[in-house]
Amino acid sequence: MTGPLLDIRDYRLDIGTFDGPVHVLKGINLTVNRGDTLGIVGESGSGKTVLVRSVLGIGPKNSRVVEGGITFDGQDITRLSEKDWTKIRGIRISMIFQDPMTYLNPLFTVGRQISDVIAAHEKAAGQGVSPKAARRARTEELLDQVGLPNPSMLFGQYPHQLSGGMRQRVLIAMALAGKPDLLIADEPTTALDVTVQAQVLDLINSLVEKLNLTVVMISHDIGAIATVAKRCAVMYRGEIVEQGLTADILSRPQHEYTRRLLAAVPDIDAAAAKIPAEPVAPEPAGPGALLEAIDLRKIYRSQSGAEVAAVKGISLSVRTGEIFGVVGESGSGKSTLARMLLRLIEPTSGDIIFDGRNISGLAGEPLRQMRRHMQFVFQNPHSALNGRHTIGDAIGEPLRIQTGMSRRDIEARAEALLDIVQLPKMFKYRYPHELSGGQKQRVCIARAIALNPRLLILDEPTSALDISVQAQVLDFLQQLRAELNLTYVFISHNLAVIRQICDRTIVMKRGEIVEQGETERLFLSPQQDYTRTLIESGRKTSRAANLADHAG
Amino acid sequence: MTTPITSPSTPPAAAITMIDQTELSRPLTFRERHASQIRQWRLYAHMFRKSFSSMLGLTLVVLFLLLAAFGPLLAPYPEAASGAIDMSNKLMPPTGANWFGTDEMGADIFSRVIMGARTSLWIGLIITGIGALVGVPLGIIAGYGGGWLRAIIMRITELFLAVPGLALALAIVAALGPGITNCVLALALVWWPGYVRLVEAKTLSVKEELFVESARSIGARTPWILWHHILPNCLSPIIVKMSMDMGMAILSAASLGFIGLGAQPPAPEWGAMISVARTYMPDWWWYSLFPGAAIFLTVLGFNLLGDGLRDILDPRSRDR
Repeated sequence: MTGPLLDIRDYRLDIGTFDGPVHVLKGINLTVNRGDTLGIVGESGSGKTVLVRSVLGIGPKNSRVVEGGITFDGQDITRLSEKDWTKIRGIRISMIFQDPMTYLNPLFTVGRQISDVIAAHEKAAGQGVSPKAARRARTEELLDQVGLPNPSMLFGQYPHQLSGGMRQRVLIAMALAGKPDLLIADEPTTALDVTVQAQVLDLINSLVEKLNLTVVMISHDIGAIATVAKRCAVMYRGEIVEQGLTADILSRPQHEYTRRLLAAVPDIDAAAAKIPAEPVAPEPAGPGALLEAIDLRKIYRSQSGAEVAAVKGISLSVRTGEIFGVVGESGSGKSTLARMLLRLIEPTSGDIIFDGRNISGLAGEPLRQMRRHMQFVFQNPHSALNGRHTIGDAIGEPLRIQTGMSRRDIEARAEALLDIVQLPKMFKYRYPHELSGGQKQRVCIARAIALNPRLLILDEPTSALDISVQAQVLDFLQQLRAELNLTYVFISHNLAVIRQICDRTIVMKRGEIVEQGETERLFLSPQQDYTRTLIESGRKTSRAANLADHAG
Repeated sequence: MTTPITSPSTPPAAAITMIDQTELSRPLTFRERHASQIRQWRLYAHMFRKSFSSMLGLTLVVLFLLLAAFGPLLAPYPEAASGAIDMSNKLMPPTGANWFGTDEMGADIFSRVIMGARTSLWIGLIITGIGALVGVPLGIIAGYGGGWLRAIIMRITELFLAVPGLALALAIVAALGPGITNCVLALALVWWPGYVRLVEAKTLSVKEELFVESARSIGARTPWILWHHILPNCLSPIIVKMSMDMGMAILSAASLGFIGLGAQPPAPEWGAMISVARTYMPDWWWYSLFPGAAIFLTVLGFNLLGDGLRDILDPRSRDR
């Protein structure tokens, strides 16, 4: 019982690739005592996931421990055999994964999956497997422990019948099934909505107290870490650049990288110093409106004939030159709305008026011409680019489709566009997979502005990106708008981001507008309960992360 | 002002930044412009070389291609292929002069096997070529178009797939009359449905990709999307299937030759040779053994090559 529970000493890990070994972890030193809650913060590629997976013995293929080792409860687990791992994995160390959907088998009931885990643990522990009824009782107890209502009914349900937050709770219950000493949480809230995030973090906190759990949680979201972890370590390029008490790190960051990271976190409580749009049209919608939607509806018909309304009668008006925010949780219909505005999805009914012209009836060539003026930036830059086209081809594609420009002119224009989005000209020969997420999103933006559109619809343009990259892209988008005189419709679930850049905002829930108005007014005096809950949940993590600002 | 974000998450970023430092106004060399492709091809070569069976397949296929290309120069008795008769030498076992022995007309089997390679290559290329040429466009149209168009194409495809291909080809050749051209034609006619199935399935998944929607949002017409986005992303499985089909097509043509519906003697076609040799089994074993071995090795080679290509082209098996 003496000594730390988990002790990582000078741990160096290389992954062998075609381009030679990559030093993923460079001398990690980390100790976790019993009852500790440790957070590891880092951007994608910083090696945090590789680190915790190594602790569980499920590190990447072709990896090689160069130096150092990991000791768990006095036992060296650096080079354990697969057989010995079965006595540790899930029993002494458990893990919660990022995406609760893909880690549950859709073919089996929740109860069956958890009881199977219990049975497996009992088998591995060398005891006989307990009878079915006993396992069922234990499963229901676990489900109750993670705050799920009505466990006995839940036992017989399938994963697809549960919401994202409930699935994450089921995964946590499963991880607790073996009564682990150490619980590893790999981005447990990233895939969840803001309000659900807050609940899951609360749950982890209460479990730590109730069961005296030791938790290692990794996340790129400092807010989430700050809510749960007492101690925290900051990882950057395979190294731990700083560790200590979370409160200390947030209020007095020592390392330059930590400072940059903290500065990049958008603050939900800060009124943003916006770059005012040049032609601010103070008069309400009318002559200044660039895009209007009148009573837009989208109804999907399921195979059984039931009708599901994704968007229920939305009317909005976007003024020339403004940034129009659309905020809502997943399933609120905001992406459907965006695609309808661009006529990528056919609305069931309603009108879309762009620049005084009704475009909802357009088809064929006129619609194709229309597309020049309004462009879309997708949420996920990794899949919005064709992996088999070079960056130059991707940026030149709209020009090749929409203009009669010669090949040489298109090349020159693509280079100019790369310059505008602040990427080196060299990149036109590269392929998407060679670029980082932020670079790819810049390429997508370059592609979107190639035809000098007047309206950009941005569907969560930063949610697939790291926080520091997100800040850069947001700054850049504002700069670009001023330079090119653009109008944005900006869709996001991140309230802090919305507050930072949007002039007016609508809040959506289940396909309807809950509240709309000037962004500042919306945040300072929300009129609807839903808006208030949304802002409160967002504030919870945001405030924790912004301790630094409030303290100093 | 230009401050590119270089994230540590992309391994080849090192290569990019290295070139960045030299980014000047000078025109780039070929190697610099195509650094990405060169790396990709080297990666493919590296992965291919690691697998013994892939390399064996490649060796067999290259050997076969060399024989097909230079057969007439390599064969010791080229006239043996065109029905030269030397009755004094008939049915001789393998010797130093006739490595594979001689047939009932006294022709050198070694020469005939070598000369047969070209016929087989020709058969394989035409059958898989026509199959892909017909099947791929139909598959893409069915997958992308959907609706009644897809229903029609897929039902016809299924109709063809429901009848065993070789049996159907047999019926067609029987109707057209035996001969190598008819045999190839018949096989090509039954070969395309496989490609429709394959490409349709692949198109269905590719068309849901975000970059297709992205292309639509910039105003791309359907043919543009099919040609520039869907087809390139379907190419890997097509290449794999074609390389495997080469072997199967050669085997099928040989089967038709064996039952006398394909190439007619004295054409040096492997299937037809075995067909004649059948009556000389087992005493004159070399007569059927060597053409049989040629078919076996060729089909094996193409299958191993196809397997190897699948391993390197499938992104899931790509552990770089």
